[in-house]
Amino acid sequence: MDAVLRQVEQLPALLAVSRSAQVRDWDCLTLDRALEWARYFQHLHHRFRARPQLREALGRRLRRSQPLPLLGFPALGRCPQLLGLALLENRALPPAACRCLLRGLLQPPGEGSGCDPRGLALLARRKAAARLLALVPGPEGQLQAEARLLPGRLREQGQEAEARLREQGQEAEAQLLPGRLREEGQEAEARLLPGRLREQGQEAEARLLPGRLREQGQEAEARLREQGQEAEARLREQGQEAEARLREQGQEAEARLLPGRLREQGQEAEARLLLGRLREEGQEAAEAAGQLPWLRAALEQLPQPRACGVVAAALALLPQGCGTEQAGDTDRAAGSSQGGYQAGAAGDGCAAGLLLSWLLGDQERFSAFCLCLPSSQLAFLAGHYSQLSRSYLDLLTSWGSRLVYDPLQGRWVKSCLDKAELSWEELRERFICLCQGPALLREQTQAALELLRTRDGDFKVRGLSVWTDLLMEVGY
Amino acid sequence: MAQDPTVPKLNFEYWLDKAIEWGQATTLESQKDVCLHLSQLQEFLHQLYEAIKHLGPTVVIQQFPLIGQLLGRLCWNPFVIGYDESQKTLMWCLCCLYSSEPQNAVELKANSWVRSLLCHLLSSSKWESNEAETSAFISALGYTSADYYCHLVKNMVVSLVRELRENQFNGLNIQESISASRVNAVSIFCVPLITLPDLAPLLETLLLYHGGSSKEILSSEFLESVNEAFLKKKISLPESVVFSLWLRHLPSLEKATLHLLDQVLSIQLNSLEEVACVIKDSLLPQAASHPAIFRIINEIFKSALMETDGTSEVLTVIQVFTQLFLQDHQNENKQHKFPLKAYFPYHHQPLVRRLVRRPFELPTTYWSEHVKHISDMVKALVEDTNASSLTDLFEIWFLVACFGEWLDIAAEQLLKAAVEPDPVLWLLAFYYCPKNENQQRTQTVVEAQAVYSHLMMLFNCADLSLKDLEAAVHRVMGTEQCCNQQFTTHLLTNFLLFSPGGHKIAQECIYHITEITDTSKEVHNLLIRTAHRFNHSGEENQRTVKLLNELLQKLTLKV
Repeated sequence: MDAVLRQVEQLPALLAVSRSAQVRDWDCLTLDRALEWARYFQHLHHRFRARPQLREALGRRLRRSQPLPLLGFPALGRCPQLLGLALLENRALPPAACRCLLRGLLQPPGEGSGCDPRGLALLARRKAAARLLALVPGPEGQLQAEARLLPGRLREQGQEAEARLREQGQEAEAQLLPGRLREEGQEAEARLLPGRLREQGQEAEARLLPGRLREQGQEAEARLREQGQEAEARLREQGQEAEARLREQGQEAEARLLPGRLREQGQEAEARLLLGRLREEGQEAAEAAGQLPWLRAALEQLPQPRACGVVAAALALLPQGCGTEQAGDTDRAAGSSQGGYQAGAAGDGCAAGLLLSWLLGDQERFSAFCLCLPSSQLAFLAGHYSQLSRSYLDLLTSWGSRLVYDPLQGRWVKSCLDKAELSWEELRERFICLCQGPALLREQTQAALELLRTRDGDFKVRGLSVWTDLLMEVGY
Repeated sequence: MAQDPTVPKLNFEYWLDKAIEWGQATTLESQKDVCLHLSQLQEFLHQLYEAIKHLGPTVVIQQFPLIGQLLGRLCWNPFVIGYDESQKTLMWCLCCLYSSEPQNAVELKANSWVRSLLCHLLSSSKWESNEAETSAFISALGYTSADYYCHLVKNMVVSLVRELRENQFNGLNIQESISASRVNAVSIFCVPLITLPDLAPLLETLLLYHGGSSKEILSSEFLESVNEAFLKKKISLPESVVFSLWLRHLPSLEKATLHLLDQVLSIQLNSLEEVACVIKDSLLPQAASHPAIFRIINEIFKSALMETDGTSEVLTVIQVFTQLFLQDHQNENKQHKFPLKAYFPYHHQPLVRRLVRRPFELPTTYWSEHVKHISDMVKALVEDTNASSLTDLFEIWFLVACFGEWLDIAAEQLLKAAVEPDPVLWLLAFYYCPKNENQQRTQTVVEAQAVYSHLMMLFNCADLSLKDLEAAVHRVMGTEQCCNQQFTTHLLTNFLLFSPGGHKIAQECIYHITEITDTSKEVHNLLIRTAHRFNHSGEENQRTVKLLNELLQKLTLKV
């Protein structure tokens, strides 16, 4: 067991190398050895996943062997993919090794066993599936009026895009034309030259005039080969160009055509992975009590609004019990989730605690969170997490107290226009949403507002205290 | 360069044109066109891969200088990448184009092109607008794009399913026309993904989804592809979903029925139980509890009978199908059961009620009387001058043929029980020679009576020789009408099985008949049906059972 533990310790280093420029020196042999190791780690995962103590020991050793504990026991199971995809993206990998990698990963038929036979095809298929399903015009909901226009607009856009593609296709073809003409000329030439030689009984002639003929043939062939290479070069360039153009168009189309759904579902997928990681940390995370350094590091990879969205989605998934399945392990053997981490309620509570402490630990972050999320979602979370509801109410209070009454306009306005704060309308909407939540939340909100009103002198007329006015708006 | 003779004929230009025309398939028309071509394209890609593998990239590139364009374009088409195994083949092609020892800048560039295409297919990387951060985030968590897309697709499926269900329950709303086009779009986007297991809940929801209007809301490409995948057993669907598919899309039901016939006709049948298994497995008898489905299946059976001129295998399928349907119908909960009239609306109801009685529901002693009643009713119907059109006649005959078990019992009763032979012979004559006019039928019956009384004279004869049966055998061989031939063969075979003296010469006699008249299939079918009945109701005479098994073994080898 000691030997196994020592081997497992090497995994973070292996993955780090695979992402580094050091792979420049790798040859086929090195690469095969690396893939071997990855498969071995996967094998360890299968062997130990149903044995909690050994699993725990391996996980602990893994976490100890890296600066930021990113990899837990489940990482062993997906090791071939982690390594393979990292190497595929690493441009430093030399061609010979890369070719071995491609063979190992894609495993063309009849070339022995690679790692994870249907894994990568399934991945490509799922990625395409995500794109296809995202093509479905967005759900109506709040955009009902727009939605009615949507099919028409989509069609228009589609036609535009199509027209553009067609044009470009023609352009590309036009560019190819001179080339093709030249090629055809060459082909004709070629047909005259070696063709005749060959047709007219190469062998017989060759026997008569061996040297010169062979020379001529070789020359012709050399010329052809050069031409072939040229053609090849041209074609690859064309392919690349076409591809680049398509990619641009794809991005544009995606940006234009795929609004909410992909973003939303993407965030939810990210949230599920995040929960998966938190659960993998299990007990140790609970012992760490405070924030996890890797959690902060990971969330910092995302732009702030997106990170907020992901954390909100994760917090929303927890009370639904959605998080309990092992993230990323869902289509592997069921054993891993059964014998797995003592997820359950305790684990979820712990995960929620960590996410909340990240969220509430920084006032600026929390305020950005409350600014960028819709009020209904915030009210939902406030209804489930009392810690969050307290801070949320405090924040709303501080925003509200900065509104001033403009007697000329007869309404509440921001005291400082460019500050990231809420307007009266937004504040009002947030309070209304809170009051539509569960009874406890409603009472809490109402009590807070009433206390604030009392502090302001307990007026019951509009325009004197923002709290009086808000209470009237929410119907008390 | 001269064309290399080993390069297979590939429809390269055609597919390049298609790929260019499709672009990224952003219009409905191009999306539908892609869907229609997906399986052919997959076939082509496979050939292309074989070509690259066998000839090497250089030769193939010279042959098809625009191969890069084609592959690049296809890799950006989510319909193509999403379909079945196309993505796998495409990646193999790319893998072959990667050179391990690039000689010049061009080849280096080509290598880098291959890698970026693979990255595009496999990772959530810089290449896509909104995925750059995702990539950093998931790798910071220690996951790969495989984990991410697994969740993403599941989420999207769940969200679409939820939306469809809510929409369904809302019933009529103002948004209807929009929802209809959205649902239609969803069904088109699902076409390439039908065999992707993650999609199963969405497929099921779509197939059970009906919009407000009576017009079909799902695209026909989708319905056809789902049916195809189901028939080829590439996916499995809950029964209710399959029934919904067949109810809403008749071409699918038709295909399923023809598929069943093909399946049964292409295997060698060794027992009726086997046939029943295949038929049950098709879910058609279960689906037939919807009267509309039952009637359509029967229409298809009728035309199959017409086209094959009443082949005995097709008849066997119809009879077993009807038995299985009846079983299901009788087991069904009374409350949800349709009355029999819903399944046989245009038939004489008293006759239907007689025919649907299963033999085991009645005491054996009552069988001959039951047969007689059936015969009398059919005779009255057939001889009724008001209903003498050919179509009417065919309908009556088809109804009788569906319940062929009673005909076999009738023929058996002739030899095993004291029955009044004339009505039984008439019924069999009608079954075997439905096209006869009344006069002709009388003639057939008279001839059958002659054979029958001859056989009955020999029935208790202990020491029989083939010569004794000559008259009957001669009738089998001498007749030009194959229907009479089958009729007599049926009587003769039963005689051999059930008469004490027949056993000895049975092998020889049946060999003789089948050899000369090419009726081994019919005899085989008859024996299989008899064996099936023995298994169910039990045959007390062990010698008969033994003989039957021997005959079957011999004939199975021959058929």
